Amino acid sequence: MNDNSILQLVTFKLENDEFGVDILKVQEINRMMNITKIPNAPDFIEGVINLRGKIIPIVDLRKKLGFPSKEYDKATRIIVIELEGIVLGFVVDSVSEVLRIPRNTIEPPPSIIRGIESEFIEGVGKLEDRLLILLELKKIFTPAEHKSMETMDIN
Amino acid sequence: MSNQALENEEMREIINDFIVETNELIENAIQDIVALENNEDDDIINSIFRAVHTIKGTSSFLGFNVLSSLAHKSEDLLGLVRKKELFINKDIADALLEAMDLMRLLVDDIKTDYREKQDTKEIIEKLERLSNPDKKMLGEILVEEKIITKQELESVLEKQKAANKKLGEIIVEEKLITENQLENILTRQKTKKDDQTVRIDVKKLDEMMNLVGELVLGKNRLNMVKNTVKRDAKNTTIDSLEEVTNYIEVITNELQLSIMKARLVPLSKLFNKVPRLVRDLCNTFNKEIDLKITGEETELDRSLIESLHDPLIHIIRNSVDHGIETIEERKKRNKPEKGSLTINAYNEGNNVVIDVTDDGKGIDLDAIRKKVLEKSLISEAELADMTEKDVMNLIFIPGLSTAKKISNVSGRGVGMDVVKTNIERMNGQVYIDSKKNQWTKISIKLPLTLAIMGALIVEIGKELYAIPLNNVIELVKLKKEAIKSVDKNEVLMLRNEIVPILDVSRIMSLKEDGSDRYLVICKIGEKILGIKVKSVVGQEEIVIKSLGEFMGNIKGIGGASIRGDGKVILILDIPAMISSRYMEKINKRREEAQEYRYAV
Repeated sequence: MNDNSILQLVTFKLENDEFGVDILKVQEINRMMNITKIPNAPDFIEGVINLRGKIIPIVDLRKKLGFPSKEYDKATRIIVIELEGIVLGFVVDSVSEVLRIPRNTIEPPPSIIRGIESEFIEGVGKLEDRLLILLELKKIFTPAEHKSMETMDIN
Repeated sequence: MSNQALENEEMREIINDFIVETNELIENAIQDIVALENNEDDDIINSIFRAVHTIKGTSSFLGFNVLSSLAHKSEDLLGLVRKKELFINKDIADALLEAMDLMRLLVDDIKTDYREKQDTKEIIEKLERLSNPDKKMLGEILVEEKIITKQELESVLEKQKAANKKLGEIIVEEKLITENQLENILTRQKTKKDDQTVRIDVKKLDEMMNLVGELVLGKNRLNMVKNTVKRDAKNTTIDSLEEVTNYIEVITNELQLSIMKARLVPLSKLFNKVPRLVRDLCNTFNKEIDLKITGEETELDRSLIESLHDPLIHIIRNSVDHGIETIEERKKRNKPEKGSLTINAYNEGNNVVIDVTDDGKGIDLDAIRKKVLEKSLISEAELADMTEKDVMNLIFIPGLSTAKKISNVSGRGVGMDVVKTNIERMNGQVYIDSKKNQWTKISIKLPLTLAIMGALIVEIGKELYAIPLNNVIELVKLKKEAIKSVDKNEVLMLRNEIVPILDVSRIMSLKEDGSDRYLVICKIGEKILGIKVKSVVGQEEIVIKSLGEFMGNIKGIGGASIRGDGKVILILDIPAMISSRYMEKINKRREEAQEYRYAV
């Protein structure tokens, strides 16, 4: 990570931490909407929503990353992200801003950060007065879950 | 776009057309060859000949020389059959079928990367051995088509010997036909009876189907809005709103129906492959079978036809391999030497039924009983309670194959359960009926289309769910006193019939609050069950949407739909629920048996 290219990130909050994802992966950001619960689904799947006629699964990022759950409020947002052809929505506490930071200010992740397994973390960005955790959403799903994403298909 | 790119684009289109056409020709030729064996008819020979000839012509035009020369050799052999210099026999038919299969593989190669990778040497030698390779065919076609006379052809052939040119060239030079005519002969063969139809890319049809689906949702929404407005306002314009809404509803329904119909394909598309399959199987197992197919004009949604292919083939293989006996066995049992296999398709309401019946040895119930006990798939007590039909239908549980010998065709124990799963995935059902030593009948029941269906919208727990209407037979009010308990399971006595009650909220790990007021009675095959619901919202046409690859495989959920208000509702997968409950029991027995074994 030595180059000076600029990385554009969408930053959001969970609990008191600030996270960022590559803006190119983000399709859109929505306000909270009516989520239909799916029984028997994995715990971190909140349910599904109707996104303009398409049904997309919603992942509760708090649950997935091991934060305590929290009631949804006015600030709650759904970040819609495309991961290898699959569109997913991620529930976050709030979306803060779009940041441009040079790639070389990002450092590789320390081995463990507050319980979040470091494999989800692409790196840590140092801003003037705070730290930003860059998530690698592709890795958010354990290998087993990832595999089941490919093999599950009702058609 | 540059000129070259344009050319490539055009070329690709031409090749794609070629692939579609050639596949069709090969398919037709295969059916004809099989038919030819039973009935040596000149028309059939000519039709095969024309197909192969067209393949030869178009493939060489496009530079697919391997395919072209294979077609050429097949054509040579067919030419001799046509001239009655050779008579069709098993060797010839086998060689021709083999050549057709290889052609199909070559077309697949071309489809993948425009390169022909199959090795045709062996089959070409075989064809050459069977035929006499030094005949020219074009002249004969021209005579056949009555474009030139036999005498004219002979004189041209004389000239050809002297001039050492291609026959076509000479005929054109002699002005017997024009160049256009020569080309027309090829094109005419391509486009036979296509006047009434247009080929449409399946993608476009799918797109239309999706759009109509959206339209249905829009219509539902409009209806909802109309009803709200009607409640609130006292205005005369409301009448015209109602009128318009009704009109749109009617039109939408009709549009939906006609687009759905456009996607229907006759079953013959699938059934046409069966004679060939049965013929090959008969060869492998040394059996003789009389195959009867009826109702091939019955229509079914395209996508269903595709997914039906594997299960149907499997059922037929099973019938030929395990069902119908060998000639010797049949003689011993005083049955006609030739076995009979009947495939019959017909419409039943909004469903299509396909029956596959053989007059073989039937299902051996004792063998099944023995096997399930041996594998501890079910307990003895449970088995004793089962009717004969229930026992028969046990052949659909995984891991059960009663075939004594494992052949390369069937009998690996991964058969009928896969058939069942595949058919249930299409919202269909499959049952078996049989009489020992006399016959076996396997019936497949499928809905006409997958994309849109009628559903009952019900409330379970705090959410709304959709139950496919074709599963529902009636709706009863739940009275506490009518519910009895049998073996810890709740049942309802309904007009002398015992209906087991399924508590969906428990299966789906939802919280229940004991306020269920209705029971939706569903019937799947022979099985009947009641589903507890809190309230019934009504009947709606719903558009089935997949939950997506990410979470498509959740037990008991068959998909989702979007209601008029934009909210997502889940569709209950009743067959899966029954089988999951059923399977749980079976699995439990299996575990118990295993524990017991360890303990001893």
